[in-house]
Amino acid sequence: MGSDTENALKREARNLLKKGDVDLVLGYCMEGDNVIPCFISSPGEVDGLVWNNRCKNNLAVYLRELEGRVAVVAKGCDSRAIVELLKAKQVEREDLIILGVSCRGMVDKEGEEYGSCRVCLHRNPVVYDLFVGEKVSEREERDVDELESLSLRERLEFWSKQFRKCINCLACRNVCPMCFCEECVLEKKDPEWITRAGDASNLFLLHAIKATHMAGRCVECGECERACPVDIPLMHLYSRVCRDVEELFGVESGMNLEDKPPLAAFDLERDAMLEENEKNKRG
Amino acid sequence: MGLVKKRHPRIGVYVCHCGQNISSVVNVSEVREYAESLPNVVLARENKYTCSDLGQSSIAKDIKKHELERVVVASCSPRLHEIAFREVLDSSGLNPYLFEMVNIREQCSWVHPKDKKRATEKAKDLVRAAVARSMLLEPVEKIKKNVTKAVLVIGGGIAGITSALYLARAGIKTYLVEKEASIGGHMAQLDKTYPTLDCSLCILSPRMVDVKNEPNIELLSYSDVVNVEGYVGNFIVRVRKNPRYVDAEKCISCGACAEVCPVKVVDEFNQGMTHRKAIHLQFPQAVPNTYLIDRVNCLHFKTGACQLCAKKCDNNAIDFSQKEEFLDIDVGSIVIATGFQLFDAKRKKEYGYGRFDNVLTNLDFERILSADGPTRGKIKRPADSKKPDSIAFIQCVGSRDENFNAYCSTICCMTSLKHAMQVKEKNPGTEVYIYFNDIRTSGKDLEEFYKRGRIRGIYFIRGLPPEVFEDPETGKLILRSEDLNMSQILEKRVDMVVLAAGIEPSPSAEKIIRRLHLNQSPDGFIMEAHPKLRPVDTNIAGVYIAGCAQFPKGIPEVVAQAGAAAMASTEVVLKDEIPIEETTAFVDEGKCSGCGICVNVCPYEAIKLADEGIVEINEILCKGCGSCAVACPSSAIQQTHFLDSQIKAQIKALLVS
Amino acid sequence: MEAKNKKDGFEPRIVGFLCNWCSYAGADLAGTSRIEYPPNLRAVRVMCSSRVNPLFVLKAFQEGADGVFIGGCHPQDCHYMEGNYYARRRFMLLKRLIEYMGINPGRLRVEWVSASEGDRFAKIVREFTGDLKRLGPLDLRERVCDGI
Repeated sequence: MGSDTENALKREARNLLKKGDVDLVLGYCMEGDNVIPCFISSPGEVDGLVWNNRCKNNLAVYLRELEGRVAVVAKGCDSRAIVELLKAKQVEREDLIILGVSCRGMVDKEGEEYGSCRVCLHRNPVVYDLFVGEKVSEREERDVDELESLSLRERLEFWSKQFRKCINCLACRNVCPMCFCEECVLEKKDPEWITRAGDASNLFLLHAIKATHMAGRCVECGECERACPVDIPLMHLYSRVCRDVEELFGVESGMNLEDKPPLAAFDLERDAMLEENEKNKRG
Repeated sequence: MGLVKKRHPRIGVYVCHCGQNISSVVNVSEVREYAESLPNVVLARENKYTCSDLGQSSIAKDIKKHELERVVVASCSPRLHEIAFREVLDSSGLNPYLFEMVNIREQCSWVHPKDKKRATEKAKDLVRAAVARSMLLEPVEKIKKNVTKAVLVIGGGIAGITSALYLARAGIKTYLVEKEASIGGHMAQLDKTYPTLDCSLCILSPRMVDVKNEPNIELLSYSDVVNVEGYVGNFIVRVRKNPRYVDAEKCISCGACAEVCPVKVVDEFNQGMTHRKAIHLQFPQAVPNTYLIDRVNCLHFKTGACQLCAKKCDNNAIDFSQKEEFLDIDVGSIVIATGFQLFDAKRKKEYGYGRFDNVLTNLDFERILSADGPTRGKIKRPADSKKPDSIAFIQCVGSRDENFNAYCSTICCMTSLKHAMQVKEKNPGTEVYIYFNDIRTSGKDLEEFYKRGRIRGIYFIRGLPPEVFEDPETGKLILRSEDLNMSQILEKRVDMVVLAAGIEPSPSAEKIIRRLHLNQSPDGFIMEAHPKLRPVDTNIAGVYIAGCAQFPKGIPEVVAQAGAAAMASTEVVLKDEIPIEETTAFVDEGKCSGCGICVNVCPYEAIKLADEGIVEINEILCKGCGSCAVACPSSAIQQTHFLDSQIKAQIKALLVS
Repeated sequence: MEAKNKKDGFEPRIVGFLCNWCSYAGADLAGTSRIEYPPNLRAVRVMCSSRVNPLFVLKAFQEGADGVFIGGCHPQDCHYMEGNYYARRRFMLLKRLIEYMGINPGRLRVEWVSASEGDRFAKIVREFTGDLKRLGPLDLRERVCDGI
């Protein structure tokens, strides 16, 4: 016996599959105590669908791999990832039916809300074809990042310590809906930027490069942080990049299909002013 | 690709003394020894002058004898000799891109003369990085394109006219674009030319007629260049032909139309000192000799009425329905001869130009002296048409002046001297003063010209008056100055003041400069590729400069440069094919995810998203900036000769020590 | 602060990415005009500042550079029309990122130097070298690995 939203979701999913509007519904199911992503292709399986505060996964990560027409359950961050994938021509809009749901923040097994959810400002989906359930009110303000108050030296120490833990498993990349490169620069052999058997400075480089690649792409779903086996607070890094992109270029990833990729665009006068401001601030 | 990729190539390194330019600071032998110790370097040599015939042939010999597969030369800037050394490789059977140059002169010995030890260390670091990079160099095949056998000359003054005639007479199709209604430029406004004092139009107008009669010249007057695209050998130029509202085929220049035209307008050709009609001929000798209607002032265009000219014209030449036309012209090279504009003397407020009627510029005075001018060649004060008893010339107005232009405009000294001599010839009784900083007479026959002036009773006063005052009662102009030669304060009351206004770049060049990305000198003129050896080349292959677009100069120098620019253009268009930018971007299709972010950053629209969900790069359109290679998150795009692997090797090697 | 005596006689290592058309030409002009500047910068010639991948900069820091310089054409003068506009955005952002990761953003300097600004190029290298001397060595590799 699920919530109204979950029941409505099942109803819509069943309808779409019955009518043959979609080949597949991408949503969440239970596996034991866990909620996992699941792929439902017949109306009979629809009862397995769930919607609760454990549906943390960003389902957009699967969309590139799926064939045919797909209905996807999308909370705020999933929908923003879909927007970015659409912009990067990785999925076709006509192949998608977006089942929008609003999120109240996802929690772990202990019932503690995930960090990325605590600071989320976009819990309602930004794009959808069908909306299920009720909209939630959005937080207005961001939390202050405690790392900002550290000195440069302390920050370098902090990150060095974090990155020394890194085992270069690239789980953070594998789970990221925005990491769709055919060949990842972090694993490139010619040239090899990250020496696998190298010292920890390679891990610093790895995470710095990854952060630059998140600029204008990251939708702050927090999947990377949850996937990290050694608990590196990656969202601090990527959120900082997102804020920088927002502050500098006025663009927040995944919010608008019409936005140009901020690093593949320019605004002559504004950028000149920015440059001046940045120079004065950062020397 | 002829050569197999190999990571252990045989490398030859040549370290140049450059006479003593390098070796007086950098320990060349130490650098050479160091180079010898680097992996894969099979030989390292020192040369007195690597760029000399001797130096080049020793490289050629080594390539054959020692089977060199890479050549590294540590000498001057690659911007100077890279092409020459590449040719040595090419003619020795080695792909020219297997060459790497190390700049240990401009960016080492010349800038670190006091720290020989660290300059030598820097040279070693740079050689090490170049050797590391050279190992990863790959042969690049030349792309050749056919050459369009035509030249565009922009600007129809004496520079453009000269270039166009040389080109056309060499059998080359030449387009001459002039923004004004007639060719002739500023020279057509001059009365006489120094030092011979022959009549300007008498020598210019036969050349203008030659342009008209020359079958290889297509003259596009009253036209603007609105866009330029392409590259050396293959430029596409868009020209806007502005409507004259007079059919050039039918107009016989009888002037009947102008007689009946009711609209009087200030005449620009006479520097605003007379009037013309809305329908007019720019000047009697204009080429083409076709009237035009100035749309802004024409009554018909203002009110829809009038059309008196059309009624009067027996040949029905008036055509109010003419529209602007756009032409796309294909040319192989371009000569820019956009000339100059006179410094706006109003900006030098102290001299009262525009406030006092009897203060003129040198160009105004040319018109006063001209038999076709407002006073029919009689020297009169503009305020009251009185014959002036005294005239003062003030030099360096807007030139050699930190507030305006710091450079010397070159021609004003001799221009004022010419004017002074003409005054003395017409009215020997008129007192003439020239206020100057220095009188500059470098140029053929100019010192003699100056001496002639000195014996004509012209007063030369060293030291400029800071200000010109007007006596409102008499209209006399008062000049107070310190005569620096005599160390005394002078006060002169004169009837007329002529300001030797300087020369500035023509604003009409600005669009072409931006569009073609020509380098500009700090003073705004178009910068030549080399101040001594390439004075008519620009930084853009196939684009040349002539005349005052490059820097102020007198007519003989303008004509000489115009000839040189014509020759340089000829060199391009006489070839059948020309190599084009080879360091273009390319995409590794297997790695492209088709996100299309690269498409956004390409300024040349050379990248397209193909149907297969990957991008394609058009290597002809690509100019090789490499921006796309950076935009691509997976580095699926690379730039030839600037591969990630090559740059990474360089970075690493630079920081090894 | 780090040990002051470490800065004594410290000569910062600078990797400079110079665009062929403006900054590299400006550096050449400094040479032909014999304008002196300290020998700390090692130039890497690229065709355009837009060819400089932020990861080149990060790599240089990892490999031991104390400072990285990027020189391009002035806005509106880029040989490739827009290249420097992309470079400008990329490096504004990169400066903020390295700052957040604990690297002084003053170690990354981006300047637009034209072919006629030889004296300015020399002045910038002088200034930048002085700034880096004051900041001391970056030693990124050592500090990340050993936590010093």
